[in-house]
Amino acid sequence: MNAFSILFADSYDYNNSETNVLANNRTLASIPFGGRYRLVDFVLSALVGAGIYDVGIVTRNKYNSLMEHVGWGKDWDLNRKNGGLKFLTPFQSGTGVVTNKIEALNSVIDYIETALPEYCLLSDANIVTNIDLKQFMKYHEEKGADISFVYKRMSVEDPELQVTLDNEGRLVDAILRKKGETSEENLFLNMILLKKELLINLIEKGMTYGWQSIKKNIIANSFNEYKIYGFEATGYTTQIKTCEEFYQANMDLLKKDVRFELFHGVNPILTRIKDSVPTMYGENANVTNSLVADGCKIDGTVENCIIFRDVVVKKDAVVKNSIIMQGTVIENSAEVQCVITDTDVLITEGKKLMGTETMPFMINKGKVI
Amino acid sequence: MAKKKEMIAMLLAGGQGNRLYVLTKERAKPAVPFGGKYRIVDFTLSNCANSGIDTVGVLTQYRPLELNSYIGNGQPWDLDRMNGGVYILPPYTGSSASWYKGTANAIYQNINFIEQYDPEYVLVLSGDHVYKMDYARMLDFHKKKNADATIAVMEVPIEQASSFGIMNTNDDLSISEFEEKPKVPKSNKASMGIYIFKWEKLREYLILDEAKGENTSNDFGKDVIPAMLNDNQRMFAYPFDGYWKDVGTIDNLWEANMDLLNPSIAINIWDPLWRIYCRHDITTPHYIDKDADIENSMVTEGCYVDGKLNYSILFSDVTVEEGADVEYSVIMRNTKVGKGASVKYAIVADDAIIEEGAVVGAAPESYEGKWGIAVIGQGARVKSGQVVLPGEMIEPDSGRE
Repeated sequence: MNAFSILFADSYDYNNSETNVLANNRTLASIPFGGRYRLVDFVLSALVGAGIYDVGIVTRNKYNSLMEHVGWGKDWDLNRKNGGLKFLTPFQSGTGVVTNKIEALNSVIDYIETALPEYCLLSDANIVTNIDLKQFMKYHEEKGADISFVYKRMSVEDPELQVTLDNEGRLVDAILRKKGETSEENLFLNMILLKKELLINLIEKGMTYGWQSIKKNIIANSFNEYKIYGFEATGYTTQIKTCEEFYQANMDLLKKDVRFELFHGVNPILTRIKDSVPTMYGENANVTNSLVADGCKIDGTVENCIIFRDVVVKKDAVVKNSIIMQGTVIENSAEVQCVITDTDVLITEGKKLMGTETMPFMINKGKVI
Repeated sequence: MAKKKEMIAMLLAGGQGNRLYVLTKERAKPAVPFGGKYRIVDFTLSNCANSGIDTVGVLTQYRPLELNSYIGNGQPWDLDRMNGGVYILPPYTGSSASWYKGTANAIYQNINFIEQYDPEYVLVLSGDHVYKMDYARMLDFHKKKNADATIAVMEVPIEQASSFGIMNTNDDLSISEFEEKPKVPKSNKASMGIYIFKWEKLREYLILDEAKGENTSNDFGKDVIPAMLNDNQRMFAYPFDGYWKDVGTIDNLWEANMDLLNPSIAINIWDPLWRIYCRHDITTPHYIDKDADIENSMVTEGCYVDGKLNYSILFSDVTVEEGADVEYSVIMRNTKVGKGASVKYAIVADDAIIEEGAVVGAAPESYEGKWGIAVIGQGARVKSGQVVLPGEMIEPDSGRE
């Protein structure tokens, strides 16, 4: 199967900044994750792993961090003469502010029309997974599907589209619950595959009828009209929208099986190369159960943490159950617990900060405490 | 036609590195891993990039495959350029050419390569040293002195001077005499093997040297420099004070690695304005497990550590299991140190396996025999219960079925 991909740098289903302060100054796609990654790395790695080298990223606003991270796609091997990585900026819309995915797709319809491959894979860029998209494409062909989508069996607290499939995997019911369930359900992930012609047809229809959502209008409302099939994502998979989900997913990386499924699965997870030196542990370092990237200098106590690149933890500082992003400095005798620091934060000597596991304390980019 | 360059660099990377024994069995010396994520040659290539030199010819000879694929198109060092960039120059390039007979002959055989860029100056470097140096400043010195040749020198302790090429200089830093490994050194200014020549002059002397046939060893230090001195060419010593280490022996390689763990040593690889670039492995952050105990050590991405580390360097994707004890050691990429194994004062090359409970090396104070650094070759397997004595070397891939 010959496919190109359209990624959404943002979700249009809700206001990003309100639910997730990490997206205040950046796209969902460029939220740092797991010590050295950004969320978009997982989907990009899956696409490249499946031989999809033609990727357009639809952006809305605040996309400079994403452009800086992805660049011309070199670190994902996406700097290609044919296809490669392209930013589809709002400049192309011409219709004013884009408020939903159907409009967003309509704004890049020229790009879709000129794409050479027969199939299109649409995906959000905030899905943390190591999925085998070759299998997904094969499944689509074997089922003779019009549209296929990826789902994951899990329980979430937030409202999500629950899907019911028949024995063959065909979608027979879908409903968007107001509240999440504690039991495990089949939840729709924003990753779908269909023929380019059908996509163009659906975008045109959508613009005619005032559709707003792929999830609601195309998946949940069209399963009688089209053959829609669900493909289960097996290994660790989650979609990150809120700070709480972000915290939880990062902490999940401290579990061996999660690390194994995510980092040693079918695709190597590629990210931007930054030429940091190896991490240096000083004579007072005391580190356990933590994931640490390169370029750090650690001379304090670190427990159950995700430490990004170029972080400094000085002598007698104590950092527990926290996510410390790139360039953060924690000075002598400071104590932080259940804290998320955005990039380049400075926590000065002796300061004590504490959140809880269900409500981590969030420190914005560049703040001095 | 390539555009004219003021100065291009020629990097001599053909050294056999015999004194690194098992570590250079399968790779050229410049490709030997160093400092957690680097190769020795990264320092010289990064110096070029950071000094604004964008055209580098790399002269390879001995076991070049790994070095060639490592350097590739030069992109990690920002040396993938439209005009210039990095070029691997193996022997056998011309019709009358043969294996590089010596350092001078290696450059001689590539006169055509150099002429493409019509340079004013040529910088001749060696790929075997660990140091940071701004070649642009050396070029300024060279121009200011209107020199035909400038040789970088550093002061070494006088008692060690007899193992270096020593420059005796006048007050204006012009070189009056050059002595290769003098028994009674008159000065402590040691040649660092870094030369800037006026290309016109170098070309002339390379051709002269080549014409001597059997009467020359085609070597810069032994033949070209003395010949130029003999003819009273303007030759100057460029003083360098900073960290510089020839990592040509096991002891030196081990020491240079340990120097990175010593905050009082002058080489600062953290400097954001003078980064050391390298080709990166695709890997994950490293994970430190619950039983780990790490002090004074460097750990690279992709590692898993659940044992004890003290004064050690782990390259990427190294595993140190629970109860393992690693001290004063250098463990190269993708090596596994099994449960309860002990690795002390050792260099362990890539892809090796130290099985559960094996013992590699020992501290000098706890050993009565002739002590030395223990070395494990690439891909070797040290079996459970096996003891590798201090100073012992294990051949690459030994112990594999």
